[in-house]
Amino acid sequence: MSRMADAAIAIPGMIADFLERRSTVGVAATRDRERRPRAHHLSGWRVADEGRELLCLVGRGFTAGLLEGLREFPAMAVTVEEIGPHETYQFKGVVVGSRPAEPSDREIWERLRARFSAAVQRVDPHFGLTDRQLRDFIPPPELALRLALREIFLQTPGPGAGRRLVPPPEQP
Amino acid sequence: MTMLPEEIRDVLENGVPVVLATCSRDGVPNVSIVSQVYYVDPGRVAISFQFFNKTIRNVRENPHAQVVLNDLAGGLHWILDLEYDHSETEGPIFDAMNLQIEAIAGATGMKGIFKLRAADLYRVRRVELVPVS
Repeated sequence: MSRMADAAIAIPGMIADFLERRSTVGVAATRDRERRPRAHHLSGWRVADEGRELLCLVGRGFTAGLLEGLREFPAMAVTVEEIGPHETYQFKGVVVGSRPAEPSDREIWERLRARFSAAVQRVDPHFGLTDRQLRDFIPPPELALRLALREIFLQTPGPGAGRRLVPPPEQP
Repeated sequence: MTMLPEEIRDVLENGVPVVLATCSRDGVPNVSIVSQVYYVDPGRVAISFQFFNKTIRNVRENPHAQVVLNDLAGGLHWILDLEYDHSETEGPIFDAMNLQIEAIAGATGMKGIFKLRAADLYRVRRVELVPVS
């Protein structure tokens, strides 16, 4: 059974803390009419509406046709990881609102760029790229999407990856 | 048939994780970060099947997938539209992927967790380049 749960949920405190302080890379997926998936790099994210929503900043270069597609198929998945420990969660839900990126979103973007660059240099100091090159890898925000959350999954690599955390798995 | 340009081989082998998007038969998108996409030939790539997860289930229900390769040094994102073709559990492609996964696992502290169950082969349908920042 792969249908998404349809009741609103809220992000648990530990995962909210992960999102706001430790996560270093985020990506999203949407789909088109032919059920072809589209991947999008995120420029940042923020817990919103008391944990019921995730504000997702979609980066420049990854917004072409996105709003048009979401109007017909609003489902979106977001995966956020902390580089190094590989702690990863996937958030699924529906996009309930959008706006162009605002100047205030740049603060979220700048914090993510700094965390990303520091994490890559910590994991592999010999990667050969400067702090500036690493920061530039996170594209500037172009679009902000409000993702109303329906499900959260553990995605940390390992046998437990894919286990639904919220809402809890149904008991047999 | 879409052919991969020769210069993509360096990007595929740069060790930078790859974004992989799929969609279930019911139309629910899924996105994960995978350690590597492997070059098979100019028209095909392979992705490792290590755990029976949503990505693996989705492409067997709906063969469409999209990956974003991250070329940090070249300042580009390579977006590939893929179509799942078949899986291999032995042979030269499987053996080569297995060796690389063991190396990646050793380098990233995931030894004993990463284990190749199959090489999933995909046909490349489209290639797009997006400049970084």
